[in-house]
Formats: sequence, C-alpha cells, structure tokens
Amino acid sequence: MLNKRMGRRDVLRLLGLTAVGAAIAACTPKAEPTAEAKATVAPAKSEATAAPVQKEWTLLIDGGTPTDPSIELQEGERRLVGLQPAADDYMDLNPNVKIEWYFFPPGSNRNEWLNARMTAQDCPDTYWMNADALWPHVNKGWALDMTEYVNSPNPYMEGKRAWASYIDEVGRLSQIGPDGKVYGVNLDGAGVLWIYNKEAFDAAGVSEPPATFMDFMSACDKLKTKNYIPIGGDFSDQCCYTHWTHGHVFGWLAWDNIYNFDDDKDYYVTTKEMVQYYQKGEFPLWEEFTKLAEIFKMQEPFLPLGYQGNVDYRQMFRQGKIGTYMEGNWTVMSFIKDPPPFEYDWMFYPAITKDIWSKAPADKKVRLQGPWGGLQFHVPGYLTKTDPERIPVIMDWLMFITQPKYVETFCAERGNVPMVEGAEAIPEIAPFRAPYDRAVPYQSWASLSGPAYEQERALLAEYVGGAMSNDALVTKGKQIWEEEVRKVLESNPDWEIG
Amino acid sequence: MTESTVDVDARTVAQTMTRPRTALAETWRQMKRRWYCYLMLSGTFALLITFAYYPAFSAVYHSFTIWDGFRPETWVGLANYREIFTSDTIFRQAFVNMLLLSTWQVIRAGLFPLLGAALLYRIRSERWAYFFRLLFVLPIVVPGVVGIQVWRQLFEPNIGLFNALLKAFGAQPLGWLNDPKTALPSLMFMGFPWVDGVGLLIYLAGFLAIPIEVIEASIVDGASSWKRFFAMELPLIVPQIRLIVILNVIGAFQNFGWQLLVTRGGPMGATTVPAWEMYHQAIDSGRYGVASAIGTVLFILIFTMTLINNVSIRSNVEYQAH
Amino acid sequence: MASTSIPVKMKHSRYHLGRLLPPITLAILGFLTFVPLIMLLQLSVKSEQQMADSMWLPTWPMRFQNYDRASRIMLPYMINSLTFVVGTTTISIFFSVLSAYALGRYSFPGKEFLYMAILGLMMIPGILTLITRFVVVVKLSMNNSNWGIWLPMAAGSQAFQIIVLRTFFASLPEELFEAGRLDGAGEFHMLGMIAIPLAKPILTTLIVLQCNGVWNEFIWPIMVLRDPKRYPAILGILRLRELMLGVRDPGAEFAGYVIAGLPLLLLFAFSSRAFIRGLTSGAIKM
Repeated sequence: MLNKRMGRRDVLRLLGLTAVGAAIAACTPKAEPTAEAKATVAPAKSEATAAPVQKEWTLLIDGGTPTDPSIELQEGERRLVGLQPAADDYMDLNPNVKIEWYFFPPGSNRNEWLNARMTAQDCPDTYWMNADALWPHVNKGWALDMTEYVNSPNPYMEGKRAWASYIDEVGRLSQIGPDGKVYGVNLDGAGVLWIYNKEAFDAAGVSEPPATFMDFMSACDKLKTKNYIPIGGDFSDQCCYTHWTHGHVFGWLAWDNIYNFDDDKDYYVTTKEMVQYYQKGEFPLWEEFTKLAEIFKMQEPFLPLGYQGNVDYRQMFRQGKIGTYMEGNWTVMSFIKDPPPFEYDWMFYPAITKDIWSKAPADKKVRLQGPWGGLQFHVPGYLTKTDPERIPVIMDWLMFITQPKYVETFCAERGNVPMVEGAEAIPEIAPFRAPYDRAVPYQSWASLSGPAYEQERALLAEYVGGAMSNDALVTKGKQIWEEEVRKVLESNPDWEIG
Repeated sequence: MTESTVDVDARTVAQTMTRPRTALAETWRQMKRRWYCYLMLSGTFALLITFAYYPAFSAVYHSFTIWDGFRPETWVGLANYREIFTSDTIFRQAFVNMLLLSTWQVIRAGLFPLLGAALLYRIRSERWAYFFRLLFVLPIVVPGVVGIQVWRQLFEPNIGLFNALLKAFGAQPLGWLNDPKTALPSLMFMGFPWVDGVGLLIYLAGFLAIPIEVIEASIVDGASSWKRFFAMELPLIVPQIRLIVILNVIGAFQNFGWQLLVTRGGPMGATTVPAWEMYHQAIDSGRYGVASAIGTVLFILIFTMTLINNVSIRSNVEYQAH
Repeated sequence: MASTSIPVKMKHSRYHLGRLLPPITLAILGFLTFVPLIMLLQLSVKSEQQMADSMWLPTWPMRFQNYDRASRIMLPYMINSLTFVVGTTTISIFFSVLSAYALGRYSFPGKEFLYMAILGLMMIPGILTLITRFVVVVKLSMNNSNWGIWLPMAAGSQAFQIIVLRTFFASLPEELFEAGRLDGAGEFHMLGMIAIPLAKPILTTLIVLQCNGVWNEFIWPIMVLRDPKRYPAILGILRLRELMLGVRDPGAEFAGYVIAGLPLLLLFAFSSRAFIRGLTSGAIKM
C-alpha cells in the first residue's frame, strides 16, 4: 500500500489538516502562569503560637530524610536517622500532622525532576536545592517568598527572637534572592578539602601534604612514577572537580577584585551580579580565566584516562588507585565508619603563589566553605494559589527543626557544619574547621547557568587536551558568554541594564 | 472532510435512483453505510488526538515562541529556527552525528540480521536451526538499558574489559567513550555483532515465504549458494528489507537513549544528536521553544526520508505472501 | 509447523567448507552476542571488593545474597511495571485491532487519508511532544496515576500495530467473510469470530513487542510519576545504584538488572512459538 505514491489530493488534505490544527493550537488559551510572574508572597503568621490549625495535614518532606526504612542493611552499612527524631517529636506535639519522607529517586537529574514536578504542581512540600542554582528559576514561581516568616519570632527557640537571627550570617544571606526577598531556609553548611591516600603519598616519597601548587605538581609527578593516578577528577557533568577547582583557584587569582562584584554583600557573586557586570563589560575576568585554564592544563597529565568523560574516581580512590581528589565534609562520617583499606587524611587546597601568578596574595588560604548543606529547604511557589492554608503548617515545621538539637543530630551523622545558634559541630570535622582567610565567593560559570557551565567544561577539556591557544580560548569563552547571557536575560528581562 | 452542505434534492433523488447525481451524495451515502468503520476507528483517534496530534500541533506552535513552560509564551517567529541553523558547532555537529549514526544504524539493522537469517536458512538440521534461532532471539528480553550499562562497563577506560585486554597485549589503552575522537565509533560499536533477534526473525519469515519450487529449480540448475542468495532470495525479501529500513530510519533519527544514559551528548559534544539537544534544551535549559523547533525540523527530515525510501527501493519480482 | 531449513534434498556439496560455514559463523556470532549477557551474570554475584580486585573474571565465593537484596527491593517495582504493561497492552491492542480491521477490510470515504494520518504519526519524534504531552496529562489530572501511563503509551504504539494488523486483515481471503455474511452475521461479529482467532499469532507477536517496549520505558514514567513508590522496575534499578548516602552495592545493581529481565524472559519462553509464528507469517513487511 505504500507503493502507491500519495496522490495530490491526499497531500492537500494533509496540508489542510495541518493548517487547521495549527490554527486550533494557536487559538487555545495560553498556558496560565502557575504563580505570579514575580515573587509569590506567603501570608504572614499572625501569632507566635505552637499549635497549627486543627485540620489534618500530611507534609511530604524532601530534605533531611533518613535512610529509607524499607532497605535492609547488610554488614558494614549504617542507617542514618536524619531528621526522624524531629519528625517524631513534632508529630507528638501536633497529632493532627503527619510527616512523610520523600525519597528522591537516586540517579535522577534534580533539575529534570524539579521541572516536571513544578509543571505538574505535585512537588513535595519542601524540596532541597542549592540556592544559587535556584535563582534563575525564581521568576517562574518555583520558590515561595518566606520573607515575612523568617522575620517572625520562632517560638521553638530560646528567646523567641526572629527566626533568621538564629541562623549564621552566611546561611541567612545565601537564601536572599536577586530581588531581595528570602526564598528558603538554610541550616547547615559544607566545605571541601582534598582527601588523600596517605600510604600512596608515603610510597611516592611525599612526606608532607603540599602547601603550594608547585609542591602539589611535584608530588603528583612522584605519584605518577609509582603508577598511581595522582588526581581524581574529570570534565563530565558529575560533581565536582571542575567547579571546585575553578572556585578555589579563582579565589587566589582574583584576590584583589572579586568582591567588587558582590553588590548585595551576601559574600557571593550571584547570577544577577554576573549578568549585570557582564553588560558593563567588567566581567568575566579573562586574564584570570586564561591563567585558570593553564593551571588546569598543568594538572592534565595527572588525571585518569578518559577524563573528558565520566570517570568513577571516587570508587577508584577506595580501590587505592588514586592519589587524591576533592571531597566534601558530608562524607567525613562515612569514611570513618566505612574506611578504605588504607590510611587517609585531609589536606588543604595548595595555594597559588607569586611564582605562578604575579598578582597572587602572599600566604593566604582560600577555602570552599559555605551554605551548601543538606538542610536547605525551599517551598513550591504555586502553593499560594493551590493550597495557601498549608503554608503556615510547613513554616511551623521548619521553625521546629531549626532547634539546635535536631540540626546537631543531622550534621553529626554526616559531618556537616551546623549554622544554627547553639548547635555544635562534631570534632571529627576538625580539618574543615581549620582557619582560612577567605571563603570562595564565586565557583564557576555554573552560577551563570547550567548550559554555561557545560560549555565551560567542554572548553576547558578542549584546552587542556589539545593545542588551543590562549587567544582562541578567550575568543571562544566570550562567544559562550554572549550566548548564555542572552538566554538568561530572556528568562529574566528585569536584569537587563538600560 | 471539507464537504459542508449536502444538496437535499440530490439526496432525495439518490435515494430513489440507483445512480446518484453528485459525488457528494455518493460519499455521504457510503459514510452512512459504513458507519461502523468510523466507530471502530473512534477509539484510536480519540487517543491519538488527545495524546499525539494535539501535543504535536502545540509543540509546532511553540516552536515559533519563547516558552519556559511556566510563564506565557512570547511569539518570536522564525528566531528559534534561525538560532538552530546559524548557531555554533553543537547543532551542526549534532546533525552530522545523526546522519552518521543513522546511516550506520540502517546499514547494520538491515545487513547483519539479514546475514544471520540467510545463514540460518541454510542450516539443514531442524534441531540446530532451532538452537541457533534461540541463541539470537533470547537476548531480546534483556532490557535495552541493561545492555547499555554493560557495554558502558566494558568500555570504561580505567577498569573496563577492553582496556584490560589491550594492556594485557601490551597495547596502549584508549579513551573509548570518554575520548572525543573515539566516542562516536565506540557508540557505533556497541551491540556487536549487531544481529538483532527481531530483525532476524522478520527476514527469516521472508525467506520462508519463498515458494519451495523456485529454490528447488535453481538448485537443480546448479546455482551455487551465493548465486542463489543474490539473484533470488534477496530480491524476494525486499518488502522485509523495506520495512526494517523505514523503521530504523525513523527510529535512528529520534533515538537519544545512548546520549541520555551514557554520554550526555559528550564528551564535548562528540556524540550529540538533535534529539538529545531537544531534550537538553527543554529539560535542562527550560527553552521549550527551541526544543520544539529542533523537533519540527527532525519531523520534516524523517518525513522526507520516508518518502524517499518508498520511492527508491523497488523490486521487479515480488511474491505476495499469504 | 514452520520449518526453518530447506526441506529439499541437495546434491552432496563438493565443498565441505560450504556446509560447515553457516553453523560455524552462526556459532561465532551467537557467542559474541551472548558475551555481554555472561558478563552481566558474573558481575551480579560479586561484592564491591571482588569487583575492585578482578572485575571481568569470575570470582569466588559467589555472592548470591546480592539477589536476595535486589529482589526484595525490586519486587514492588516489578508489580508496578506489570500494572503498566497489562494496562497499556490491553488498551492499545483493543483499539489497534478495531482500527486495523476497519482500515483493512472495508472501503469508505476518507480511508486513505485516515491511514496516512496514522502513518504520519510514526514520523513525529517522540521527544517533540514530550513536554506538551505532559502538559496535556497534567491538565487531565492524570499525572502520578496509572492512566497517565496507560493512555499516552497506548496512543504511541497505535501506529505500528495498526500498520501491521491492517496488512494482515487485508490479506484474509474474502470467502471466509462471505460465509459469515450469508449467515447474517454483523460486522463486529465477524471481527470477533473470524478475524481475531486467525490473527492470534500476529497478535501474540505484537503483544510481546509491546510488553517489551513498555517494560523498558523510563523517560515518561520519571516525568509523570511523582512518587518513587510507583516507579517501574527499570527505575527501581536506579535505586539499587545508591542505596543510601555513600553506600553502593554495584553487585546488587547488576543483580537487579537480571531480575528486571526475568519477567520478559518468562513471557518470551511461554509465547515463543506463537511469537515466531506471528513474525514468520509474512504479514510483517511493507
């Protein structure tokens, strides 16, 4: 039957139907905004009472979740309680409220998941996300404006002061969006150090963890001659080698001027700030970026084979094949309870010194340390339209878990840094508490947008692997920024200057 | 169906006369006579209109807009299309990759199962034939996802089997899927030896449909196995070949499972295809307008390819199998 | 019964190689096809440490408790997959048969056009309609429910099934139906009593192919289903990838893959004769 060609009449009919269909699609009512185009405002709590409304509520919580109780543990595995103690106490206090945990499907892309959930408006009542990844989506109504709530008294804390006053400055500031409103609550933080295989270092003749970058390079040389893969990292989209390197190194390279771009003084260079300084022609800092690329290139011989794609270097480290890689403090307890078959330790990011970069500060320590913990809570913005009565209940729960005992329990299980007044960090994360001079305010092009970060990685991978000149690097980089800033402005036209 | 009004007089006349006056009335009469056909088709079309046609038209409409899925869209005309065709290497690279991958997929889906079926057709022992058939058909039940993951492990540069073998023989290990230079060939190699069970059976069916007398006659004439294959068997299974080619052309253009599960379009865009770019723009960037534009272009391409395919593959000798 | 060999006595071939070539080649190809499967099996009984020591060679002791853990975690997801498969296949086949019969055996105004419209659907890239279809599903409040899986997936497989079934129904000789018509049977009656029983092999084939497709689909369920509890088996496997923070059991993950494939294997084992008969009935061509 397909042998017969489509007759002219058939073709015309098909075209006619297409035209009709297009007309119908064009005339259908446009997609309604699921929330206000700008920030959504939550009704403020009037009184500081403990008991929420007497209706029955089930809160679905994503963030602070304990280990899935349906998983049976085997030898050597441990169960985490997360915020379960808090949930139990809260349910005792409020018998009409049930706390259920949402077990985020592992292996899923969080962005994809969130996109689908916001479209379907069936997101859990709180969701976890790094705030800086959230800012490009705030205009779509993904997050609830909590400003009034964070400024209200927290009845569960000693002194019953405003909620925000109990949270460390870094945590508090991190949740303020580009428009000055508060879009979330952040109760713990994280930091990054290099974890290294002590036995491998000893075998290679590296007695002390390297303090400067050039020391680090010679240490890597020695490791390589002993057949270790010195550095675990790759340029794929799995966390974290590229942007952690970028953040740390840039902290030294742009020591003098990076904070000039922090208009809102939240210790962070946000998407909006980047976009606006880009329009003024002052950002990115291309000389510094070129130097960063060169520093990546110096590390290239020490990366695993196939670093352009995804390499499971974490597993390889545990197998003793890798010398060192960057890891966060949330894994401290899992390394202690389930140690690898060799001695390990933590070391600081080797400093960039004047012999590599003439403008480098002398003797300064830069650390990636900030509001990126497991207790970051945002609430879907569409609730103001679909279920506004639920909001005070959610807020009450969040105020409840701010109590130091719960935050401490959660952080102690992993090794996170509590950012709430009265909560103590466990001694095991002492290396992460060592003093430093500056916390990284800018991680990488990731803060501009996801696609920008992707292209940064591809650009760097091309540069380190091949024969790209520095000029070509900058040209390509500028093209990428032009394109990606345009797309960000498409989504956030109010960030446009002039 | 654009017939609007029915000429009442003609209808009345048609009812009383054997030959109706107008084509319109005849059509209406036939429609009434075959009312049950439309009923039978109604379920399918209800499903298709809701979940296929309307989404498709909506997507094509949105290809002319900027839309993030949450706020009202803005009409931008052909801007998205312009972006696709003038933008950087990623899109160009995507289309080139797609052509390479699709050509390869059509060749390998057409060729290797055909070889397998031809060989199977020549096995004389019933029991052996059954055994070999089972050997090739059994892997169908392995979920595609699983196969992909296993191959991914095989290709892993540091702990994978292929590099282990290379090292054992003293050769240099390769980056395989992780190296931009070898990523696409590695992707193409996955699934070796590419004898797909379903394709094999479809071809086998075609071979078996050839009347025995024809084969017998050629053997009596002294034709060798090769000659038989090229002169007779091959032309007679052209309908099966055509089906497999069409299905694979359509499938290959749309396929992005490998990209989604293995390479994410990388490394550095080496394995990206338009279908992956579509998904990526939509989900990761929230730019549904551009994603829809890519999809529309793909649709036009597939449509064209299918038409070409129909016109070009022809056979002089075709037996209708019953 | 369909024979797969040439049922004719060939002259004894002068070249022994010519007779041995097919089976030898097939054996090599078959072995190569099977290698990934064998790898999967031997990986599924390793512990993490065994994988570190020797990934590609079998290691002892074989850790069968990987299967214990994997099956316990996978069971609810397998049931979900089963629900999806049964629902989608029933709906899809039901409507496909009706439409294919109408298109294959009757002549009526608009028939070619409607057929072309269905054919055209196959050319629409699935990904094009992913978001807009999701929006439709949300508008109909079908997200996070079984209907959100059944109906859209049934719609997606209509095209292929109708094309194949139409060829089949069109190839049935008219005499079969003449007898029925003389007896005064209605059209639907003839469909049910005459056409469908004859179509059993080809229907089996289509059902098996559909089950395979639905079982493996993971992009759509991830969007539509909010609760991970409702996920199909293919996504349940991902759960095995990282059981809890920092705990990985790759052997159990591979065991999960094997378990996920078992129902399909069973289905195939039970229906293989009919499946093959359907494919070899010659109706699958263009």
